[in-house]
Amino acid sequence: MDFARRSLYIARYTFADFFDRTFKMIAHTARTTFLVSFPPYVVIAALGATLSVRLVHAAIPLAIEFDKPISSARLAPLIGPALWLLLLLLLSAAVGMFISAAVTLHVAQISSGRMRGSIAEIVASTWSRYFRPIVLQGLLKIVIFAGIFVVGFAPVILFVVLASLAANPPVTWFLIAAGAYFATIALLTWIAVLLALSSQAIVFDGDSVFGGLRRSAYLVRGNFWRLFATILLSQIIFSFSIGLVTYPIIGGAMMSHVTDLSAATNDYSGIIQSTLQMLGEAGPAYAIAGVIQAVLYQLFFPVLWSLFYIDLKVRKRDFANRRVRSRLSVRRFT
Amino acid sequence: MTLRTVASGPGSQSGGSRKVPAEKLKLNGIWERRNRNPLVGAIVLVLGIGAFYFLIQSFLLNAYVMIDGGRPDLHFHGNVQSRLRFFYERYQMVILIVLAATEFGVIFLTPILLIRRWHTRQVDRYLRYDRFPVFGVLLGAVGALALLPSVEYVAGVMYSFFPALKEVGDSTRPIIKVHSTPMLLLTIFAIAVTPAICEETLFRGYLQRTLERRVRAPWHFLLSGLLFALFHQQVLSLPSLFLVGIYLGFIYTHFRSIYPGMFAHFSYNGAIILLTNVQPVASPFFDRGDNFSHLSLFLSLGLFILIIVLMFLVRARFPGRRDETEM
Repeated sequence: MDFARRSLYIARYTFADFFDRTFKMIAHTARTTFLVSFPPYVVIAALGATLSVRLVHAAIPLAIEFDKPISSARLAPLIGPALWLLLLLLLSAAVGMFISAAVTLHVAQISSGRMRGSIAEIVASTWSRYFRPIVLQGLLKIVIFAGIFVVGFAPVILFVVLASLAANPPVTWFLIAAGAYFATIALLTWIAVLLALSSQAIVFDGDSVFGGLRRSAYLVRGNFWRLFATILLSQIIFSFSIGLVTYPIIGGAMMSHVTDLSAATNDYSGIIQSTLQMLGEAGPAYAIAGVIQAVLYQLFFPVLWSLFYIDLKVRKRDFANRRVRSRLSVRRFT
Repeated sequence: MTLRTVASGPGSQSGGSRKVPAEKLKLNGIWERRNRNPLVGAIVLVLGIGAFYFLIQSFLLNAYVMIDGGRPDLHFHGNVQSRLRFFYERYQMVILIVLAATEFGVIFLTPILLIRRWHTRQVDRYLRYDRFPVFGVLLGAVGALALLPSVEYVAGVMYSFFPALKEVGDSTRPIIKVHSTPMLLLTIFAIAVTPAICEETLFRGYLQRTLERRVRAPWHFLLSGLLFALFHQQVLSLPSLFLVGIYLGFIYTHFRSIYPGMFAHFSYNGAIILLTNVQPVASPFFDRGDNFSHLSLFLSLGLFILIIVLMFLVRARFPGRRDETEM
């Protein structure tokens, strides 16, 4: 029994194994994920919906008189809710990292043989041992991506500005801009895949912030296309599945507040106003859909990435189950 | 490759006395190996097919509309409804062709090809293409027609909550409005024949068949019906499509054949095309508009219940072959 439990997750995975083991692991981690993610996401979504409605209501007068010049006095009502929303976005990113680390820890415990983990212990361990390095690593990644983004897109912006100023811009400018755009996208994708497993390295192997990035790059090298294809396919399927569930909620909420579509869409001012109104009125529906999306994301992706981490470590002959068990204080199989 | 032969249930009687030998379905695909759950494969495949179906369809349609819409002599005018009506009238043929092509190319062919590799080489047996119950086909089709007024009634209730969507729905009606015989044939092929073959193969033949192996009734046809409804991505029609999905799932399980569902689906969609195009003739009995006849609703519900009772009687008289093996 112990051997079966160990060998089920600590293995080289095929495509079918990935999805099969992911769903099996989700059956083990679902309760923990739900309890850890649902309460904070409900609070964040409620706050987000309230602020979004305030922002939309502040934006409606601007939209109605969109042909008038924009002044600081007209923009002032937008600034407060927009700043609060930005703060909430950062908070939700940090909460997402915490939940992802907690789920990864649970996966690490289960894959190393401990089937019944305590949620309180998982939360406490995540907070005391993994949260700080994972947040620091997340910030470092943001800096790296922002740097590439700025440097890569600078030629794009430059050539677009030059093209708009010139009377008869040469075609090569557009080609250079398009080349820079695609090169930046490719570079961002390559680095994102290369560093995708860095937080798993912190939880599984107790790596430092930079150690996790290094180990992720080492593991992904030689397996780039497998990881890229799996992430892409999973993202497409996940986005579609989420859309299936949330589309009726959001679509229904938005459309239920429009009583006369003809009147609402007769001119541009009406279209802008009714669109903003629909978005504002659908705030609670967005909150519900957002919570569903966030919880399902945390159910699925941390597990998938953790199993990929195990698979790559087994492939690189780097997986020492005894070491992981001793780090996670798993003494015997339960 | 692991070869697993699954024994069937006890051989049952057909026509009262003739013995039918026990059937064996060889499940030896990659999702049938030890420690793997074929249901996960089915769900991943159905969701993946859905994602790629909509991606390919929207890519093809958008590409065509962008090329055509860029012409200088083409101008869109008016509010959302008039633009929608113009769009559906202008691109009706293209939409129908793309719809049929992507349904056959993605929704039908992909599961057929993957079932061979993932589950079994006996694809026709797995999907239940191998038997044609005549009574089941007839009852299934009549039951679908009897269900139509009730489903329209549910949609009508939804209209009252979403007045804007009713306007949008009315604007999209030109897609099945026909003005010539070739367009009628194309519409029937794309809207009635194609979904009957492709969607039944995916949702009943593959998804529900795999669900039946691990999930008890009625959950397997409730789940496949729910996914069938959600896949249509129509807020207003969600409850009514769910009802249709449950019915199609029920007859698939009940007759252990894909054909009753196919004919029911064809009759249902065909009736909608017919009612949209010959409204004045049909209106004394059944009106798809605001003047909904409650008499037709009660009559159709009564007929539908009668059909269901007949289905149970037919099944009791001709139980047919069993190959449900994994419960």
